[in-house]
This record gives sequence, structure tokens and C-alpha cells, in this order.
Amino acid sequence: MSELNIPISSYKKVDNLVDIRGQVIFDQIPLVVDIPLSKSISLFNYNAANDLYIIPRNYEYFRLNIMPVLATGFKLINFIDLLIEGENPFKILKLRVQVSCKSTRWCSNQLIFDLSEIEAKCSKNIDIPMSEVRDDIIVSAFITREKSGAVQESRKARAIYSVVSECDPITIQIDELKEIGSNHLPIQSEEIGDLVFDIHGMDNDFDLPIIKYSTEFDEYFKRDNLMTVNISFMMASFYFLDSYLKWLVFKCKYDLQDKLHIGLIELFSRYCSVSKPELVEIVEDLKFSENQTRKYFSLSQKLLAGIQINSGLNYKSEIKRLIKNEMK
Amino acid sequence: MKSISNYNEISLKLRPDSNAIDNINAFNTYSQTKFSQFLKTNGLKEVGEISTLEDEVFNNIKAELVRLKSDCVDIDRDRLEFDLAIVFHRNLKKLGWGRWNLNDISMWRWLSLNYFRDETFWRRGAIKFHKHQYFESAKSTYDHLIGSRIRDIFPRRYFLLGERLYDKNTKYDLLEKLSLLSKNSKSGGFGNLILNIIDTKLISPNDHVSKTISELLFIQGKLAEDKEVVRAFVRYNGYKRRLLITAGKEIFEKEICIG
Repeated sequence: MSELNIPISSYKKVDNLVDIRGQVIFDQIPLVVDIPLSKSISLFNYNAANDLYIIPRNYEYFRLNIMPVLATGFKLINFIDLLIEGENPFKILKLRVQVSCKSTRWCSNQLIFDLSEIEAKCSKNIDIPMSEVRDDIIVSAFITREKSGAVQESRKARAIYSVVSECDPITIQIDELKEIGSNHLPIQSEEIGDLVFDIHGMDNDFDLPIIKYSTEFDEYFKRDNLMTVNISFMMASFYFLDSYLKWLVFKCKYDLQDKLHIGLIELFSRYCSVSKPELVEIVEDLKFSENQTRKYFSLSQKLLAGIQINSGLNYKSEIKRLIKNEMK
Repeated sequence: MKSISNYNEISLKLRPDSNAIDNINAFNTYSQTKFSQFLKTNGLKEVGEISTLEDEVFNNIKAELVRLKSDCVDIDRDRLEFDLAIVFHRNLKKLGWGRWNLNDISMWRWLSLNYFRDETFWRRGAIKFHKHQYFESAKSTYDHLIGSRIRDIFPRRYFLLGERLYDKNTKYDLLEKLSLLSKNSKSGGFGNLILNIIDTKLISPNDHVSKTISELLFIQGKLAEDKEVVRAFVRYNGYKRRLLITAGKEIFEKEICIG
């Protein structure tokens, strides 16, 4: 065996047995925001009511109140299945919760819950110092063994700190995301006459084009709670993304070290259901060649569906929701 | 603080190659003042303002690096990484900088290009230059000054290393110990340690993992060799199903840093 291979026996692991719920608390205002069941929330420009918009960066810290609850239909005693015969889950297992930030590589201290505390619906606080985090943070939770097992049993975790169950993480956006990293394209307001939207820089061969919107809408487009704004962006995305795809395929001199170029490749790889190497090959093909043009049309067709399904926002259910709201 | 607003454009213009002798000269021989002028001539666009305190802190760093260079003339430059980390981290902290600054890449690039050409050349290019490898010297200085790879941006690299190994309680104790060991010994995989600390996305409360691995591999008696350092990180990263980020030293001793 190679010395770099680590012998780790596979063991039974069942995820999402515990659900992490919580609240974001700004003591200074004061404001308490429930973390939605979708496990994703943007605090940037959050409308706290009465035209009060929260910019987390303006505060030194905010607090997360974390309350783990058992998943529906599950009882703590069921954890016995993940343990070695005879072990008591209340003595062996604990839930560890931590908050981390990939951009800054910061990680909080861990909150540790006994299983009995989960049963009793206890909650614990963790402060997030703004000087340590940026863009977004992730709340992760794991149920771990806190003691090594005395005997070996097949398909059962034995080593201390083995994770026997992971919970769905919560993502909290705290800053405005300006760069492509997920599905964010560069966008700025500008005086563009009678137009609402425009795209500048389509002739660039290196710098990404920038979506421009009229400064007259500045006040409204920065809010994420206006139905008209949301639907405008949802519909405009079809054209925006197809324009970026055209630019990437036909104009971009692709640089594999450029973060924004890589971001675009990742984005369209996901939206057009094509592998990254395959997409890079299309981008690096002879510009406007017959093959490249043909591939673009195929990608563009897939993009139409991908935006609606793979963008993290399900268009069908979102539009249904908006219609229902409007009809109330 | 200032930032570059046209990195993509400027990085292409400044890239040294055989057809761009001016660029090679700029990275190899220009003074900082002449180099800053060269950046402007080439169309470097910047946004923001620089405060008096920021300018003062950056100049303090430069002055401390001059002292470090003269104090360590006989020491291999590769062995001064921890000293550089202390100088950068201690000074930049005076500006209240923290981890959230780490991802402001345009700012780091501006700082690097406008203050640390001489230091980056000394650290990355000078040895090649003295061997008459002028292109290689300019390329190496360019790569670390402008940061072809983000992790290489000269001041950011040392600030990040400082953030990883500085401790609220023991301050620069670990970095100082590593600095002494690194300077006084001919062996030890310090380069691989730094590479792993800078390059990986090690995330743990209070950087427990970086500190513990550094201590166990270097501070406790024998200095770990290159391969031993690599193996320790491979082992740590291999435990995807174990949450070792707060594990005690004994676990790292028995399972991770085992040679």
C-alpha cells in the first residue's frame, strides 16, 4: 500500500437527523430575524420594517441563536443504530455546531449540545465578529462520537470525533456580492438615457462585460423584497446570461488563472449541464468556427432550461408564489 | 486604502517576456519611485485614497525589512519567511486589519505594486538576477508582486501566515520560535509547512490545526523533513469523516504527525 493511503474503514452515516433552526440577532437595533426553513438568508440590505434596511457591515458583530431540533419522525433513541452494540447515545454522541467563512478562513469556536439538550429544545448563542468574516458565512453542524469505541463492529464508527450524521448547513450572506462566484454577474447603475438595462463591454476580450441599469432605479433595485424588481431581474436574466455566454464563447480570451473567467465557466457548466473541460474546449476553439457556433446554439438552448431549474431559484414555484401573493 | 481597478488589463501590459525588455528592466532594476511612475505610464487605474497612517505603517514595514536584510545577510532568504510574517502582521494590525481584508485582492495588489517592488525583488528575483537569469528574475518578481496566483501576493502572503500562527494569548511566540529554528538549522520542511498553511483552506477555530501541526512538527525536538510535513497534511485532509478541527494534541501526535 502507498504510504499516502490512509486506511479509513467506511461506516454507516445518516445525514439530516437533526435540523438546525435559529435566529439572527442585532442587539444594537434591536432586531431579531428568523432563519428561514430554506436555510439561506441574505442580511445585506435586509428590510427590517419601516424602511429600515440593515447593512451588517455597519455593526461590529451580530449574534446567532442556534436551536437544533430533531427531524420529523425521528427519535433520539434511533441513534443507537449508528453506535456499537450496548453504547448509550446520550453518553457517546454530541452535536457540534460551528460557523465558518470560506473567504477569510475564519472559524468560530464550536457550540456543543448534549443530545438531551436537543430533546429539551435548548438554544445557544454565538457571536459573529464582522472583522473576521466577509461575503457569506456557513453554519454547519455535525453529530460526532465523543469517545472511541471499545470494540470493532463492521459498518459502525469507532474512532473519536467520527461524524455519524451531518445537518443541512445554513448560508447567511452578509455583504453585497459583486463578483461572480455563484450566480452573480457584475452590475452597476449608470445614466443610460431611456434604457432600463444595458450591457457594456461586449467587445472586451478579457474584462467581463458589465450589466448597467438606470440610476433612476438605484433606490429600488438594491432591495430584494419588491415583486416587480424580482420578476424584472428573473426575466432579464435570460437575456443577460445568454449575452455572457455569447461573450464567453466568441470574444473571451480565456485565462485559466483569472478568477472571473473561472467563475463564468463554473456558472455555465452548471446552467448548461456541460462539463467544465468540455466548455473550456468550446471557448478555446477557433472563434466563430462552424463547430464553435454550432456548440453555442446547443448551449444556448440548454441555458434556457438551466436558468429555470439549476440556478438555485426554481422559476416555476417562484412565479406561482408571486402570483398567489399578487392575488391576495 | 487604494485598489487597482483594471487588474486584467495591467497584468497583461506588465507581464515580462522577451519582447518586453522595458518590463524586464522595470521588475529587475527600477527603484520603487521609478516603478510607481512606470505603473502610471502603463495605465494603472486606482480607486480610493490612502491615509497618512496607512502610508506611515507601510513605510515602517519597509524600514523594518531593511533592518532584517542587513541583520541576516548570511542567512538564506528562504529561511526568513517567519520574520517577514511577523513584520507584516504586527504592522498591518496597527491599521486594524483583520481577516476580512484578506479577500480584498485588488487592494493587496495595489499595496504590493506601490510599496514592495524592492523587497519582492530581493526575496524572489535577486538570486536569479545575480546568475544573469534576467527574464526568470523579472518573471519571479512579477508573479509575486502582482500576484499571478492570489496566494503569492507578497504582503498578503505574510499577513495570512501571521494570521494563521498569531495567538491572542501567546502573541508571536510560535512565529518567533519557528523563525529561530528556521534560521539556525539547515534542515526542516519549513517551506512545505508554509505552502500548506497558505495554500489550503484549513479552517479551524483559532487556527488550532495550523498551530498544532506547526508545534508538533517543529517545536517539539526534532525538525520534520519535507516529506513528513506533506504526509501530515495529507493525513489530516484524508479524515473527511472525522471532525478533527478541535481535536487535542494527542490525536495529532498519534494519528497525524507521525513521520
